[in-house]
Amino acid sequence: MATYEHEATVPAPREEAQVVTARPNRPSFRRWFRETGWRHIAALLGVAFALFPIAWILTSSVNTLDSLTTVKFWPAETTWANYTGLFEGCQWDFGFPPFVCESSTPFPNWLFNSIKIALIASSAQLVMSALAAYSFSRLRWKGRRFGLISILLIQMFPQFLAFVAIFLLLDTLETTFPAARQAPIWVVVIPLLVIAIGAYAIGRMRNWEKDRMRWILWFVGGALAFGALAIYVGSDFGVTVFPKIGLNTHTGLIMVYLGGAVGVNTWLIKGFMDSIPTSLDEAARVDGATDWDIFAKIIFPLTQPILIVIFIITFIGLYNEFILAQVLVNDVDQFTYATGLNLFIDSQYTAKWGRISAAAVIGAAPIVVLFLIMQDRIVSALQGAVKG
Amino acid sequence: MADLDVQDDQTTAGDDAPEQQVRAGAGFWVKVIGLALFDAIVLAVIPSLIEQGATVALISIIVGTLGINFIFLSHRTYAYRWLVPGVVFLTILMVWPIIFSVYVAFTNWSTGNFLTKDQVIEQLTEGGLSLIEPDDAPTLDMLWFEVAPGEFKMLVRNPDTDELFYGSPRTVQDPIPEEIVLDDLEAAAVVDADGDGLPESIDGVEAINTFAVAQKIPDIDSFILDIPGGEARARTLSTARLAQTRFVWDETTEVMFDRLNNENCTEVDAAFSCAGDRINPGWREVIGFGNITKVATDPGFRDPFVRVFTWNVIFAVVVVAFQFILGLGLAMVFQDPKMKFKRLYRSLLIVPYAAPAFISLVIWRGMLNRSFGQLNRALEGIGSFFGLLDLEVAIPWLTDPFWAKVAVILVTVWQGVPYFFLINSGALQSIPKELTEAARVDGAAAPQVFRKVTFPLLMVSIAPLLIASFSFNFNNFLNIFLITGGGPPLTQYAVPVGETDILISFTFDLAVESGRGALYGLASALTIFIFFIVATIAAFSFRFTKRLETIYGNL
Amino acid sequence: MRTRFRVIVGLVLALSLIAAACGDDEGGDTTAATTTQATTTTAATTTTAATTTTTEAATPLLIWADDTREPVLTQVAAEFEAATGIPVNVELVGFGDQRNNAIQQNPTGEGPDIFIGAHDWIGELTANGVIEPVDVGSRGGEFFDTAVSAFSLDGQLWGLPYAIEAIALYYNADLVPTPPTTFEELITICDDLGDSVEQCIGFPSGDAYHHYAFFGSNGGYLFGFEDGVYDAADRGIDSEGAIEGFTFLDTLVKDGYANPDVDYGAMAALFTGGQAAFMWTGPWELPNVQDSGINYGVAKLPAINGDTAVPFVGVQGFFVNSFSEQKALAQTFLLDYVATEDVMVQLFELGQRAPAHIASFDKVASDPDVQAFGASAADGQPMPSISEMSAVWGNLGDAVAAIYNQTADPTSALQTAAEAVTAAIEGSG
Repeated sequence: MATYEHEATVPAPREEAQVVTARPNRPSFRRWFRETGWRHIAALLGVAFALFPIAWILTSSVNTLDSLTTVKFWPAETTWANYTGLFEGCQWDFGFPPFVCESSTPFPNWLFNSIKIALIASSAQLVMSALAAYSFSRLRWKGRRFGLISILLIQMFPQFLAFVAIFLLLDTLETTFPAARQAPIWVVVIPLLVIAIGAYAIGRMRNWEKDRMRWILWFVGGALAFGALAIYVGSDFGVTVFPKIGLNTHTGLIMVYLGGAVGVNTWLIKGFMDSIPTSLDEAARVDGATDWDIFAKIIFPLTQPILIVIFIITFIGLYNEFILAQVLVNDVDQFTYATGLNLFIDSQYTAKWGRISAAAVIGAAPIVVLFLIMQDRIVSALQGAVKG
Repeated sequence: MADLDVQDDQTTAGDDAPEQQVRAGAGFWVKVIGLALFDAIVLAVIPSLIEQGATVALISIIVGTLGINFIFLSHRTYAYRWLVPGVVFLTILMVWPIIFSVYVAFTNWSTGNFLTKDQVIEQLTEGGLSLIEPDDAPTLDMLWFEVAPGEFKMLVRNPDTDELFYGSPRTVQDPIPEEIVLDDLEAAAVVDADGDGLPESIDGVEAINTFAVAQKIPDIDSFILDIPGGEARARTLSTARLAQTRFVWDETTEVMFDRLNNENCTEVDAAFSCAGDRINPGWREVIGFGNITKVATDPGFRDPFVRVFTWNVIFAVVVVAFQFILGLGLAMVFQDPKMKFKRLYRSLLIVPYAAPAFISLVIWRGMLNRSFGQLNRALEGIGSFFGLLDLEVAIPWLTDPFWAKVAVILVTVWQGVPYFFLINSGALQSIPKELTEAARVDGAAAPQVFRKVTFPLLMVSIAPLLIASFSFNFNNFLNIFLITGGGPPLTQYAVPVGETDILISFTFDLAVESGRGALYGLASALTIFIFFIVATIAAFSFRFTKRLETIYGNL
Repeated sequence: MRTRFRVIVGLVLALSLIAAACGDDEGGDTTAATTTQATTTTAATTTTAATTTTTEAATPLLIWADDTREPVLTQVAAEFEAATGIPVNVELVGFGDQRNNAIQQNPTGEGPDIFIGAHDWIGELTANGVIEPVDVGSRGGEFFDTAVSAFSLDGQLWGLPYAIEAIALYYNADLVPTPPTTFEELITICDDLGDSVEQCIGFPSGDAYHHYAFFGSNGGYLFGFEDGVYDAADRGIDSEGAIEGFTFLDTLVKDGYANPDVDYGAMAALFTGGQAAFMWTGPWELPNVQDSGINYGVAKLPAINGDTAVPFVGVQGFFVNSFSEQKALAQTFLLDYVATEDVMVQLFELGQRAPAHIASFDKVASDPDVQAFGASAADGQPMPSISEMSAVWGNLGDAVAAIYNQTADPTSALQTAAEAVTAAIEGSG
């Protein structure tokens, strides 16, 4: 960007440039230490600081003693009972939810619920945010500046303090959508057919290999819609059209999470989109492309890196979200991972720390693994994201 | 950039352009079908809303739907279409709660005034909450008979006198009858084969099995059989209690009559007052500016508020500063292309961010215990590494006002550093190498290059994130709540408040457990205050962050 | 031309979908509509018999229970369903969440039919009108008077009591052969044990409930109590007896017998790990202590300053939601299926809280732990159940914390607490 020239004030000349001289023939330890070695020490210190409590969780999860405060770091006796105890009485069932549990604390289902909710909510958030960001970045309209600032300020409202309002809102919704409504199968089949035909048509119209993004979008949308429907298939027969919305439902919770869809993330995506040269879309426009074409074929693919990062950050946030889930979902079977763990802690007096630690390890594992796999993409995306 | 009208024309042109026709057509159909589905759902919902009497919701939904239809059908509102999905949810789940909180701030909604007035009247006149029950009231045996499909009669037996009463019950909503009307059992064919005093059948109609009653008459609670001596109402599925309804509500005059004292009740402080006694429960109602003036003027409230606010600002600023500085430091450590194990380090460093905050906070709480926590032990370990073998560390992390503050800052920084590490890594790498290298070639020292080139460029991209992070930490409820719970307590104030309480945890305590039960009204007033404070700080920061204009030059 | 065509097609399509949606809606709601009609008719003609909807399956009864009762209630629920065909759902809800959740959710119809709580909640629950009196009829005599009177307020019984609990002194029988009867003896034992244990006696620091024994033993009281009625205007939080008791606590803290770093979790862990000779808590910890395999005993609380220790007595019981649609069914479940010897004993076995049901108590009375807790409770005072009580917990807890942290002397800590309680009750808070 052009601003760089302004920012980079001319530095005063002083000392020889180290970069040039830093090409030694024989690496001495001192030099290695001055250039790289200290970095390892700093990194190790950072890692130690970061992992100290984590290590503590790990060891107490295999400790036979059930306390956090008094046991020694290295357990005298180790056991896997805390881990196996979490899955006790639960069996894989190929359905929704995927486990059938006899125990009153169906931990695997909590995990599944959390992943499901976080996945749906963060995908939907991402789409909404990207659409809004496109409008803010590429279109000119009245109230644009005002809108951009408003969404950011509104998000600063401490939503959970209005839990009474949200509770009542969901209660009204529940009365409005009292139960999953059964409907004849065609109500579902027709929209699905429309989606399929549409996708086919698009595939025919264009060479779809070139048009991958659009193709993917279409089917991701379709799959999401279908998935949402499939989840709410009634236990007996028929197909539900309107899911039950309200308290104690995942739909309700997801909706509440979507309230945070446009906010600071929209700003980030918009910032990223602004850095994509407008000459690209102008050229496409000359070729007769509509805004949707430009968004789907040019902007969206180019924005992908930041979208992945935002998706992961949102996913983690929602996966670990605790307060709203606690207020809105009472049914133990519908609990998320975080509210379920709170149940372990919230016994009137006695908390089972070994089990809590084990649950924490299992719950955090997917996120850490996701991070490990994606870390290169995350870093390179952030590189682009924060680029002016 | 093309302006709106031009774009819209292009869109239309695109639709009709021969080579684009089919494709644009598909988009059009999607739009129409989607809109139709949406309208269909809204229409399907409207009857239910009318039934519930949810006027506000009804009007907002109709207006909203018309608006959305207009936006999608009119060419002039093209740009707004992109915002619709996000803004719909934003309005329902963020804006509406804000409006609702404003409303609650003007009410007396709190313990003792929790229900609506209609609910209170219903509870008092229909429920078992206020009954006049003679001290020696017998527990009656009860049976139900289905005399015609869906029509039931109730039989009760006084076990002390063996008297039977049989008749059609009324519902609790029906007025209390002037005289008691019962069926004449003398004239009926009553069969009591086992001689337990309870007939098995009357006029050939068999009594309903006890538990079938629950299935056949799910609203059994709402029936009353008037018999001499009082009203018989179901106590369990097979027994009834004899008691009299105490309160009668006159809908036309809107007056509550107390049958115990034989006088009308008055309404005092949003509750009925009968013969000088407040009758629980009271109801919630709009009381005006009471809560807001209390927040602003009552010293018992304003002083802790100011104190909490000051600490809140310090907390947020210090936390963000440390998170940023440490994150930046770590990011710079990894700037060396020759460094090995970078991937490994990075993976390990982000673990605090990936681990569920909720759990790691609880773990930290245990580690911060003075005598038994691992943190003091670890500090001793570090001490012995430097030769201080007999070092005894006994920092009261959770119980001392100063150290408790240090503790919450420490843990919050621990949590947030990985995020800033990632962001800063990205930002550092995005700064063109040519710029820094050019500066070096020009003879600038490393610190100077950093100060004059790298840092300003970094701030351009990081500043908005710092502001966002500030507002997040300003309201970082979970950390305070789970690490110290706001403590150690400040006892000199009448409201529950602790040294480490920030506004949001202070408010939450008031809303949920204030020492007087729940004070939703007052808590909502505070919530609005918090919102204004945060929003104002953020708005000003944006205004004064000139950098923003460069990054968001497009604003 | 084209545009007009498109608009028409769009409208037709929209309308047809709307029609489809509405048609479906009507279909789904037919029964509801008829129901409404039927009820109206009944109301209009009161002479005809009661008309009601006949549903095929009864609405399940919903119960909230925490983990110390949920397994037993689930079992009872299954028996109830087998016998009656009426399903009962037992939902696991943390004990700490139940009160606020009930207050918030009962009026919206989201609450349970039955939930479980402590008798000191009654004031707040009735002030908010969310519980229904329970009519035990002639069966009141089956329960201890303490339990019935604890659950009574304004002449009504507000729940079905099931357990009475009070704190007592746990001791490690390997370290302490005979339990102390006074604090002087206890301190001698501790001095003898010296460094062989990490912390001789564990108190859950900063908790008002557990430390009431210090507050009450030398004559301190919270609210005046006469003829079964609490007088919220007569408050004894900074009374002489209370200050005397807390001064004793203060010396325990100063001498290191009471450790501010030992919270509830640490206390339990120290005791079950053999690192503490004594533990100062109630029967709810018994299952854990038994699981740990430690050789323990339970004794009456030792005398404080020479006076018999007076702990808080808590009574736990079942509440019925006043907004429940099936109160009669809920009462049937409670009176006929829960208030039985078998279930009461099972609940005791799971949670170790002494039954409030006399016949069930007699069955388990031979248990030495029950006797010890019973002896402590016999000297205790029931927690006041008036709604003003909610103003006490936090402030008294702050006073206890101040003594533990040595930030205030007992007199000023209690005076501050008394002022705060006054402010809260009289409405300036």
